Amino acid sequence: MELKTQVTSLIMRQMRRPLITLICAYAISMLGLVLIPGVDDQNQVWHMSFFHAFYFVSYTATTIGYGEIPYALTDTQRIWVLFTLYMTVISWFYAIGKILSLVQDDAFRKVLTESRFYKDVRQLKEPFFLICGFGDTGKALVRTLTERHRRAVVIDNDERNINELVLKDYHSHVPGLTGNVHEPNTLIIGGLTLENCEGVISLTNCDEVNLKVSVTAKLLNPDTTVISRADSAEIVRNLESFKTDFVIDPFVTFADMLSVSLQSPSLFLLHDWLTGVPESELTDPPYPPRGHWILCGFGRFGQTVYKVLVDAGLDVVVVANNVDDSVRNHIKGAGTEAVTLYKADIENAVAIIAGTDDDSTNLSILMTALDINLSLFVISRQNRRDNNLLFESVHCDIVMQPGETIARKIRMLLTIPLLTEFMTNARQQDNEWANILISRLCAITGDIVPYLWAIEITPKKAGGVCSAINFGRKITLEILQRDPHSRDKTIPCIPLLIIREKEERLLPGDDLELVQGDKILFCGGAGTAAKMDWTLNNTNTLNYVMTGCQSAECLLWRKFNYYKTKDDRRREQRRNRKNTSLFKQMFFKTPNSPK
Amino acid sequence: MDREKAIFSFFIMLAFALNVGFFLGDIDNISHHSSFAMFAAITVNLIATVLKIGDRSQLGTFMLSSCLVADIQLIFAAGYWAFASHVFDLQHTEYIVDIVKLSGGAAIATFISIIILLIDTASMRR
Repeated sequence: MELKTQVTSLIMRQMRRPLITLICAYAISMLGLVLIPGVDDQNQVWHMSFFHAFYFVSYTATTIGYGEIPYALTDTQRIWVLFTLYMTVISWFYAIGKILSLVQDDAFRKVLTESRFYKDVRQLKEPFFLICGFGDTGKALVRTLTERHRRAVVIDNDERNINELVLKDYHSHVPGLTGNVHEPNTLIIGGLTLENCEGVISLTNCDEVNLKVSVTAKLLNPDTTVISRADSAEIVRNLESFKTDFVIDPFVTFADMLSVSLQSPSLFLLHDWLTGVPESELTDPPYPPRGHWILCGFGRFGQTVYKVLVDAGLDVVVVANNVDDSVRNHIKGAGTEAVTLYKADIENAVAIIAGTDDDSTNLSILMTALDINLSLFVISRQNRRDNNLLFESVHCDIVMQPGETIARKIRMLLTIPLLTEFMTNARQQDNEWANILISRLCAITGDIVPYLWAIEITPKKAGGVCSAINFGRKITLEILQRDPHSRDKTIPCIPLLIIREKEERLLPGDDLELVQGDKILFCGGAGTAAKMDWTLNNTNTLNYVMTGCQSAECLLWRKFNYYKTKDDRRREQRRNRKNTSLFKQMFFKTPNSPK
Repeated sequence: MDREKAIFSFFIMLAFALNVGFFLGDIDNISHHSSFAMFAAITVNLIATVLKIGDRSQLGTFMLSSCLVADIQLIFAAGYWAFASHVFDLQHTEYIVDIVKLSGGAAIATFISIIILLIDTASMRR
């Protein structure tokens, strides 16, 4: 915090002059009052003591003015007091004015907010994400992170964006700083080098800045996850060259999803549901029709989408000014004019994509196109978030917002790590498979977005289950799904994926036996994860879920039970030496109990 | 020549001189210890302290702290004096001893400050 000490010392230096003026004014006034003889109530010559002088000057200088205390002043004294009064009051004004101007000093305020932010970040005890760039994407991302009770720290170079933080009511406090993420120091202030910095997410509009942030993050804290937005293939390659964990190109991400939705609408719907915000309403999926497509605009977005469409075997006509001859079907011109659209055979088209980098152009294309052919399937690229209202009124089937696309992707990466693996595997499945899963999901959560959570069978995260496995008990997936309150019921959830030593299996069966180190992705209704947590960690609950008997919790009661059931147990042991119940094995590890 | 340093050394030495001037004399004889000397010592000491505020160098902060010690000693002595003579109406001999002792402490603190100043100046080879 070099800057901080520098600025504060500068500020203090500037306070020297007013302070010395004040001291001098007081000293001169007091000295005068003490030296000038006065008269007391008996008309005797009287000298003010320093104590009285200090008292007198104090209330005069601060314009309080109690009067001539303790005795009425002589005219000589009054002349001196007159002089004193102006001198001290003016020096007070000077000092106060100086303080006020220093407090309003930009550099000083910057240091103040910076040091407050610095402390804020270091007070975070939980793991947090450092988000660089608080634009549309950043805002959407912070909202979902906080909704899932994750912590975030935000840095943006635009003060307005940071000021907006105060207005948003996030679930948890999000520290924000106006600063230049170009400078490594800003990132360090934001907590890059802290141990609980889980990841750095760079979402600025500028590729160079994202690159710089990623490099800085990887150099200063190699353990942290680095996620970066990249808008061009060149930057993507650059970022990947130094092992940036995730590089997200909004257009590629969108094109990818478009290709899923063309290939299998149900799979797309599944993805949409699982990556949505929990408890929000489920939406109907778009069903992109097959047939004749028109693509307007051939920039980065257009080119990426074009490849996907051609790969899907669709008949695509590109309408753009900058299109070259490498594209088979193309028409030069702007999509905003009806003439060019007619040339592209819009009357027989099934879908249109407005993909230019200008929102007004896109809207104009759509309005012209819908005017001619109202039954079109409409996909539009929306560049600015504040145009939401306009795009809503056009009734697009799919709106591609770079910010929203990136936020969704990052949400998937960060909040449930296993979901990425699940989706990769699900891509191999057919539409039918996705349909069945969707109907199972519907049965569990109704028409709201389900919760997703991952469990790990490790001593730290599933203590009860691990020790039971160590005792040689068989714990199946089915046991985890029993309700810890009444074991005959099941809690509403579906195991989506299990990972065991790099082997991934979709939708594992209920009779699958768990081993240590398993990672399982579940989805289910609200509160289900917490219920399952009981079974995972609490030995008594696990015991109840498995055997149906409630074991004693306190030591005394356990001992009591032990002696009470000793005879029963002996009898049972004799009956079945191998099958001792988990309950006894766990709690009665006496030397004579059989192993 | 460093003007800032010159001004500070002037004030700190003046503060020391005034302080010693007040301190010298019979410890229980109030006529040897003028309240004016005390007042002057406090004022000059305060000015010297303010001159060191915002100094970031190692020795500067050290001098600031020794100045603050002297300030506290002297202001406490003055406050005690005002209390003893105005509030409690004590005899001079009863309180002047404590006040002189306090000012002696302040003198030592200021003296240390001067020594540091000397070292600082001597180590400067310009």
